[in-house]
Order: sequence, then C-alpha cells, then structure tokens
Amino acid sequence: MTARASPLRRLASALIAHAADVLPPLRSPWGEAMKHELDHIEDDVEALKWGVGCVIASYLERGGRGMNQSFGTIVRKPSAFLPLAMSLTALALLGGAYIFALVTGQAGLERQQDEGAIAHLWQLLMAGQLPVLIFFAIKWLPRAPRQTLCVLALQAGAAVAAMAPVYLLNL
Amino acid sequence: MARRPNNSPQTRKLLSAMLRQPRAWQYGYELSKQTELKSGTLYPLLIRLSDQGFLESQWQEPERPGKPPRHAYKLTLNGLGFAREMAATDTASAVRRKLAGATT
Repeated sequence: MTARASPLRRLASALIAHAADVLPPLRSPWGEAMKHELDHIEDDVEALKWGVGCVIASYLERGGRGMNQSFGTIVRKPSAFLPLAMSLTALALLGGAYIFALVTGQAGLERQQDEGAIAHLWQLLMAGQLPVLIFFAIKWLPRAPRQTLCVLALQAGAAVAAMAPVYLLNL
Repeated sequence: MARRPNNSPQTRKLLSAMLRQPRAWQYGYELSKQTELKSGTLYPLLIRLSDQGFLESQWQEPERPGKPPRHAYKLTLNGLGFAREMAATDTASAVRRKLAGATT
C-alpha cells in the first residue's frame, strides 16, 4: 500500500501538471521532464518550490514564443484590428453625418430626441468592440505583453477619437 | 545595446556546472542544486541551450525501482566548446580584476 502524499506534495504535483499544460505542444517533453523530476525530490518543501519554478518556466517559455511575434503580426490578428476598424467606422459615420448636414444646409450635427439610426449604429459599434477587445487582451497579453500593450493603446486611441466628437459636440 | 545571448550569469553558472562533468548525463534537480538556480530559471536555460544545439537530452531509466524515467542532459561537442570559451573568458576577467586590484 502506498502512503498518501502530503498536501504540499499534492500541490506541487498540481502545479507541475499546470506547468505542463501551459507549455506549447512542441515543448511537451520538457513538461514531462519537470513532472518526472518531481518524483526524485524527497523533501516536500523542495518539491513545492520546484513546482512553483516549473510554472514560472512554462509561462516564460510560452511568453517567449509570443515575444517572437512582431507588432505587425499581432496587429493583423482579427481580434486586434476589428476593434480598430469598428472605432474608425464609428468615427467615419459621424464624419459622414456631419458632411451630410453641411450639404443639406444645416449648421452641423445636432442632438436628436430619438437619437436616430446613426447614433444607434455608433453605439453598437462602440459597445460591440468591447468583448473583442477583452478577448484580445486575455489572449495576447500573457504571450507578448509589450506588443499587445501597443495594440491596446492604438485601440484606445481610436475609441477616444470616435467618442471625442460625441462629447465635444454634445450629441 | 542589445544583450549578447548566452551571456547571463545564470547561463555561465549552468555551463560551468556541466563543464565539471562534461561526459556525464546530469538531471534537472541535481543541476538546480549544483548551480543554485531555481527550476523557473533552469528550465528556460536548458530549453534554449538545447534549441541552440549546445545540449543533448535523453530519457534514462531510474536508478531506484518504482521511480519514473528521468530527462538527462549533456553538453554536445559544440556546447563543450562554447562552455570552455565562456570559462576562459571568465578566468581572463577574474585575472584582470585581480591585477587591477593589485595595482590600486
């Protein structure tokens, strides 16, 4: 009969199992190596430290692979350029409406009581990009933090540009 | 200035430990104890050196029954040359430091 593993040992095993899951498939032998090595560590505290280190190693390894991706590669991902495109479309809608108002002899854009189709489209575009943006941040921040932050800054800039006329013109 | 790859103190520590027994297969935990590197530092180094062709690895049957096989590592010929080069640079730097200390 085998003795029941201590809580520290079980925690170490769980950490290493997570570390192995985090590693890219190409690196799976390294995950196995970490797991097997744990069984050769007698001391439970040492085993736990080993487990924590392996999780860090796996995230570094996964992040390292992402780091190889340039800003250009990441910004071309659909979840990166869709929010940008939606903000720019929302801005273009306002610009189009402004030009239309000038052409039809109005002084400019005015707040409408029922908000109108353009306002609803604008709201849909701005609200619709939020889940995409969150998905992008969750997926890419751990893999390539610097490049992802640059794309997020770009997306934030585009969103601010789309919102600015609404606030400035009190639409 | 960009940092040279494989030039970190941790990499030097690992290469120096492996150079002590260049023909022997060594295990992750033992290397960690020898170098005092945590597994979070050790494995990324092992992976990188292996990718660069400086390390070879193989699964070895355990010495004690009931234990799983272990992943073992050894310097390749290229790795051996590189580790010796690093060790020579370290020795030269240490000599220069000593000489500088003696003259001041």
